Amino acid sequence: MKTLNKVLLILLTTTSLPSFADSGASKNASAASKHSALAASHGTVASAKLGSAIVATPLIIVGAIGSISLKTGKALMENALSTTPLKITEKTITAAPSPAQMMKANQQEEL
Amino acid sequence: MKKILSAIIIATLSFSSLTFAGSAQNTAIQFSVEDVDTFAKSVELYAAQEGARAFIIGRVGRPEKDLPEGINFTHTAIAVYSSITLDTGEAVKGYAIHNLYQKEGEADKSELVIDYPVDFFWGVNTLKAGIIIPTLDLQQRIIEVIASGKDKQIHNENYSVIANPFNNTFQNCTEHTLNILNAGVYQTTDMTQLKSNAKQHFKPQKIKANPFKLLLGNWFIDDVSTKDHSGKVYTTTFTTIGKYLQKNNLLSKAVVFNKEGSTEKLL
Repeated sequence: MKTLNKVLLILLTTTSLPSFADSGASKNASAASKHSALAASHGTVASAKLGSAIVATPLIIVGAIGSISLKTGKALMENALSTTPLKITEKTITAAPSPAQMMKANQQEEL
Repeated sequence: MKKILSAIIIATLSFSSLTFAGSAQNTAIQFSVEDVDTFAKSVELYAAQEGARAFIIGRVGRPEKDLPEGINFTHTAIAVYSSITLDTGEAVKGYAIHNLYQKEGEADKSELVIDYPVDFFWGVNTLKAGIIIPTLDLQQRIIEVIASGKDKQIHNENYSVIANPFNNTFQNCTEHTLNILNAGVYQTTDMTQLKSNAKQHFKPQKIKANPFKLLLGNWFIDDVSTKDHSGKVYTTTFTTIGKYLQKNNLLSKAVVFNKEGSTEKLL
C-alpha cells in the first residue's frame, strides 16, 4: 500500500497540468490591460491609432457566385472582384473588454 | 514493483512534454507590444493584398519544439473581411477573427468569440502566422455561414484538444473551422451529415503520443479526452485542413507568414 501511495504521490507531483495545452494558467492578460499596453505603445497619438470594436459585419461579395439570401444575421453587400487588394484601416483594432474585465482592471489599479 | 515504479516516474516526468493545440483567449504577451502590433497588422495587410475576404488563420501559442509531430499551429480560426464599427461610431474595414476559444476557468468548455489580429496574436510564442486562403467561391460560402449565424448551430461547447473530427462528442477550434467549411460546401448544418462527409473525404492528423501519456491526460487534464476515439487518436489540424482544400481544388493559397514579412509555402 505504501508503494502504491508513493506511486500516486510521484504521479501527482511530477505531472505538470497547465503545460498540457495552450490554456489554463496563462490567462492573465485581460482585454482591459491589453488596451492600456497598446495605448502606451502608441504614445500621444494613441486615440488616433487605436480602435475598440463594438461590432463587425462581414462584407459579402455581390455577383461573384450568384446571390446569397441571408434569412438571419447581417451582412453588408459590396461589389468586388476576387483578387482586388482590399482596403484595411491603419488603426489597431481590439475587441472591447467586457464589463467584468474593465471592473477587474480598475480594481487592480486601485490596489 | 521497482520496475513499474521507474516506468511510471519516467512516463510522468516526460508528461509535461506532451503538448497539443489549445485555444486560450487571454494569454500573456511574450514579445514587445510594438512587435505584436506590427506583426498583426502586417498579416492583415498581406491577406488584404491577396484579396482574401475570408481565410483560415493559425498561430503558434507554444514553443514549436514541444509540439507533437504533424502539429505546426496551436490555434486555428477564420478571419473575415468586415466593416468594423468602433466605440467612437466610426466604421473601418479590416479582418474580424471568428474563434472557438476555451472558456476561462472551464477548459473543457468553449465559446465562440470574435476578436481582431492584435488580440489573436497577443500571446503567441512565435511571430508566425498560418494563412490558408480558400477559392473565392468557398470564401463566399464561409462568409454566408458566419454572417447568417449558422456557425453557432454547428458549435459544440464540449471541448477536447484532441477532438475526433468524425463525431460530435467533443469539438476543438480546428474541428469547428472544418465544420464551418463543410457547412458552406455542403450547404447544411446537419451535424450527422457533416460528420459523415468528413469521414469520407477529410484526412485528419494522427497523434503520435505515448498511450500512457494520453491515459494520464484523460485522467488529469480537463481539456484532454480520448473518450471520442476508438484506438488510435486522430484530430483536425491547420495543415490537414489546408491539404483537404488542396485535394478538393478549393485552395487558392496556403502559406506561413513570418515575422520578417516573408512567406513560405505551407503545403
